[in-house]
Amino acid sequence: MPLRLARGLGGAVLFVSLLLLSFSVLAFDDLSFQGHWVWWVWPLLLLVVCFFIGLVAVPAGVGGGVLFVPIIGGFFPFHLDFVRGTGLLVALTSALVSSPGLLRLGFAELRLALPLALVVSVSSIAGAFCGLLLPEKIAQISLGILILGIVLLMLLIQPTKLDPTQQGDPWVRALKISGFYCDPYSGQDVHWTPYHLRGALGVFVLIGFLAGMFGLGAGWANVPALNLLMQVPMKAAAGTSGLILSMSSSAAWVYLNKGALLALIAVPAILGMTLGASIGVRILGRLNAKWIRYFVISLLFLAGLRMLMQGLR
Amino acid sequence: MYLKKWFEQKESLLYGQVLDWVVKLCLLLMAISFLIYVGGGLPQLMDLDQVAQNWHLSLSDFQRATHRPLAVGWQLREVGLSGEFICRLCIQSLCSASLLSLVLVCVKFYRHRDWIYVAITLANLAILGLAMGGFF
Repeated sequence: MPLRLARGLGGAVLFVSLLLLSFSVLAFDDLSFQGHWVWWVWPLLLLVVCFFIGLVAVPAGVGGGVLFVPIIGGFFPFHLDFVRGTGLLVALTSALVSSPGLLRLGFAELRLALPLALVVSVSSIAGAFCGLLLPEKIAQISLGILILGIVLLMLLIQPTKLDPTQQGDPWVRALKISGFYCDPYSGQDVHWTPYHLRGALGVFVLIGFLAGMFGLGAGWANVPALNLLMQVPMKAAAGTSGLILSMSSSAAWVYLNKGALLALIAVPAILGMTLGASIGVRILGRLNAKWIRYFVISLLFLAGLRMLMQGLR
Repeated sequence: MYLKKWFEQKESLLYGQVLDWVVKLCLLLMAISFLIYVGGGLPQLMDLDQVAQNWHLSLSDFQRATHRPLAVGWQLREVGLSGEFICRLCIQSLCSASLLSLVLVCVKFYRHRDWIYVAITLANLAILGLAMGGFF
């Protein structure tokens, strides 16, 4: 009974916070109260918000970057240039922190991640350069549209079923890529072989470019591409996606070298996200992942809408 | 099959173990360096109020307004020994965390005479190295 009550309360809190957020999105023209508050309030608030982003990102199955950029870009006074640079760092950090554990469990495949990371690294550098050249309004409109597209992707895509008879394509056989893990829920051994590596390389070029351009990380697109196109099981797709991100920090370096990184913004964001994600992993089993996922989708929808409105204003 | 898998997993485990240690160390140092930075433990290159007054500006306008020195790659002499310097050092170390793991994995592939993966890992290292050096 207390558990049901707690779940009901949790649902009510989520509903009320969404209502409040919707109100704030529609009612206020400028939520970034630049200059009205003392400066240290913002890094402190950033630490708290990033903690909660990290907390819900893990159960919702999305990377930190895709939540960070629209939320912080829409509701904080920082310019989008700094938000995107920090977004890439936040995505990189969450991937770096989670990769060792995923590798230990066998959920991430190094042989698959290495060629894809190479493609993502190169294209994300090009994306980062283009992103820094974009005028602010164009960047806001494109980011808003992209975020709304991601919301649609999250709503529509269902995990694909594995075909145990597949043997992989010639590229996969040449690179000797295959995976194996023991599923902790079913207790069964899962053997898998990816497919369509050549086609996937092209898709990852586009993913890397968009990730570098908007500072979103790439987990939101890596996982569907690995699962739907390459037929990698969902858990291995999520793990390998993190591994790819951990190896492709080159776009973050472009932002760093251009000066689009302020320690006052980057460090609280990274530390908050890391703390939140480490707690999120621990309470993963106790949360209603479905509700959290819907909450995150609604949050992304509002943040994307706000970003689009800012660009069109 | 399992023996083959075990040999293959060793590269992954090596990558994961090295990464785990490097990332934890970087995050710890980052937290300490940030406290030193905001606490004024080291001289500040730019007043924190000045940073906050200008962080709503685009990158180019921010540079113009604050005359902040731009340090490219690991050439951090421009920023001198300051609060920003130690924070940036930690952020850059975090960005480079996968480099050491990739080098070790590359050596492992080389020992196994797995030439395709040696080439792929070297290409990854080259791209990362060029990005870190500020060549892009």
